[in-house]
Amino acid sequence: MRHLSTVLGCAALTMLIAGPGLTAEPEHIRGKASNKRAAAAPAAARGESAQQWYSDGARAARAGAELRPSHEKAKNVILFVGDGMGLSTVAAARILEGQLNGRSGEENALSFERFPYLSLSKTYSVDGQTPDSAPTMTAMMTGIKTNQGVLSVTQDARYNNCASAKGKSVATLLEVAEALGMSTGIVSTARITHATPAATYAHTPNRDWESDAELSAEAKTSGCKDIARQLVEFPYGDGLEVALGGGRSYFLPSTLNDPEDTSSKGRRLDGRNLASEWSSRPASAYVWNKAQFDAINPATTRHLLGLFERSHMEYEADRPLDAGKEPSLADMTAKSIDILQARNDNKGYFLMVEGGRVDHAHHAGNASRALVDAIALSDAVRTAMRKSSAEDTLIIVTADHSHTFTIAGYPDRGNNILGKVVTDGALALDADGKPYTTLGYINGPGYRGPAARPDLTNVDTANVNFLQEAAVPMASETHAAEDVGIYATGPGAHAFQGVVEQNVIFHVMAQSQKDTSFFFCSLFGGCGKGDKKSSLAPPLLEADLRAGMAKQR
Amino acid sequence: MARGWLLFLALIAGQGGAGDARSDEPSSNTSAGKTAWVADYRIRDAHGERGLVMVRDDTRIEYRVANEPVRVWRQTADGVELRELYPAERRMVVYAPGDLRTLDKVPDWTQLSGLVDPALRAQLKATGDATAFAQPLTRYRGIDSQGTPVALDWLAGAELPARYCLGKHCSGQRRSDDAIRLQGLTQAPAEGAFTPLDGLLEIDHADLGDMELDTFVHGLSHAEHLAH
Repeated sequence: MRHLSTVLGCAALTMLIAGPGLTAEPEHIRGKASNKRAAAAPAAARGESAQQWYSDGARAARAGAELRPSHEKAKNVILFVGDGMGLSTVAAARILEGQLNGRSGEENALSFERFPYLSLSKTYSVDGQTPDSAPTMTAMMTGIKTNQGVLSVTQDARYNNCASAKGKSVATLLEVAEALGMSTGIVSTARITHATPAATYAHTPNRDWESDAELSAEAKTSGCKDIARQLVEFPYGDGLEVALGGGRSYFLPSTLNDPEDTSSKGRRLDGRNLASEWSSRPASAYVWNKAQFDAINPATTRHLLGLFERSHMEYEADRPLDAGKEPSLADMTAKSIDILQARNDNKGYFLMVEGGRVDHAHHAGNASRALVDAIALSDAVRTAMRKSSAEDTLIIVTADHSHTFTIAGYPDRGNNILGKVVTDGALALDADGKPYTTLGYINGPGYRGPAARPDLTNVDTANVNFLQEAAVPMASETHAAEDVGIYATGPGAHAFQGVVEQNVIFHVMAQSQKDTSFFFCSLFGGCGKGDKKSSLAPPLLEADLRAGMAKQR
Repeated sequence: MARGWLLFLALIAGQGGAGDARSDEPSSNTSAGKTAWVADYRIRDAHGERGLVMVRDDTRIEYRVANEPVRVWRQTADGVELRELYPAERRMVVYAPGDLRTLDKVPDWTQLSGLVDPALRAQLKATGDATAFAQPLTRYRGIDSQGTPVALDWLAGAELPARYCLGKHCSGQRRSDDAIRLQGLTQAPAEGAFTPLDGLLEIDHADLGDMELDTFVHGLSHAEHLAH
């Protein structure tokens, strides 16, 4: 008791006598501020002080402690996937966005970094320590892990073997949502037939079977359908309401010239024009440029297919250069939500949005484009937050896997994240006396050897075309096996706690949305006391979903 | 793969750096895409002496070198695209304009189409005229930025070098020392001059990093690795 009263007495005394002093910067802060600085404004100019750090930290802790989970069910679910957007990418993109806005950068937060709930996702696949986008997105969309290179089929299906995949298709959340009468949409800056978007609607033992031109002889003989065809022939509900991205050539016949690159043709060998087939349905439209996209009226367009490039859409950094003009990821997200919300049956929607080119820029060893695309994804998330309600919409932002991307050295606060490391105002040097960049890769095309490292002194490393150095020579930089973040807000978001397997994302979405929650717990239990289960064993196979739908009809 | 090729370009073509090809006009000496120049060269670089067949019309440039994929650069509305053709494997790897920018491999179109750095050519002095390959030829002599003597015989009509030589020995007539030596030049209908693309399955270069399970792509990665 005596000890406590002494402590309290000291605390009171401290409050009485030390108050004014707290507004001044402590010695170590003032000392550091007097050092030469490369780019950052002094701490005081940034509004930073010891008092501010303390107050902000305390406020954040209180807000966290006061957070109470919503036990309502979500009406809508939006899943954002930054392809290859590992934790180092998020951190560097956060800094770059802040610096592009004229600030020091480190204190900035991307839109989704302010979400209240966070988990780490373990991304390995059934047969791979470091995964590709196919099994990872399959995990998020079906609730099970599977093999490398396959989409929404179980681990019993073998890669590139059509016959082995027969009867192994697992129903995706998007398919179930459509079957239950919800609206659905997919958006990507990659091809809409690329692994991440494809895992939402297609089932195949080879992620590269995007058009019939890629199907192997065995695939054709065994009856596998290409991915583009699976999108247009989607059998559940009334089909997807929105599909926006790249990959036009996969939908057009090899006899037809591309509308934008008129000396190139489609790649389909079966003669089908899947874009025309899509738009021939009632209240359906197909667009391939921004002007057409802008002219779409969400109130009257029930199904929209937008294919803005022959292959992948442009990197965000290059989008202004595109001849045909493309909408941004945020533009596509906004239009998608408008269309999905325009339906009057109040059933809710599922939307998947992918920033697909973060991954490609990393593979090329080009950090600038990867980070600009990550910022574009953050902008799209902000748009989704603005156009939806946190009361009824679960928003999840995650990545499928990481990359070998690093943020290293001891750069000063505010140092250009794309620049060379500057420490205490002076260029930091390696053991050979040469400067180096903050950002780098473990492997990839940025390898400069086998001779000694290049002298970057007079190189503009912030140039958008600069390739960061890599330690190991590889034609393409690789994925990495570290965990990725899951950022969530809205009803059900509180289920994300700790380090989870990637397939948990599916289960959180399925259990958080009111209709899918009821559906799955009716099938497999989990509705509460006395719940009735069907005789089906999980996971829900696509064949069972089809059979169920047929029975219902 | 591409890295080795760029090294070759740098060696044979002088000191020109990669520029923004979107600002360059393609050669206009062919008749609006109906005909193409077909030039048969011997080239000498760090890898030894090899043959190069170059085919060019107003929007396309094709390089054929033994034991390398056929490379076709093409002007598109979005910038320069590169196609690497593997006819034996029935595959084609496409570098979209954005991919070339991302890899910092956008070529200088003028240098690509004329083999010699245009900046170097501009600083040489015309020393005489002649005729070769049924074309008017201008002889240029001078030194490059490193002070090395340069000899260039230039066919202005075709906008192609007939001979390019770097070094003290270039003043002589010993052709075996030439870095670039033209051996044949014709004009042919463009349709048949370029390597046909029919039946070649197109793969985006951007996708190669995600296609490790594909045996062709796996082999490509290995070849690129060895090229370093």
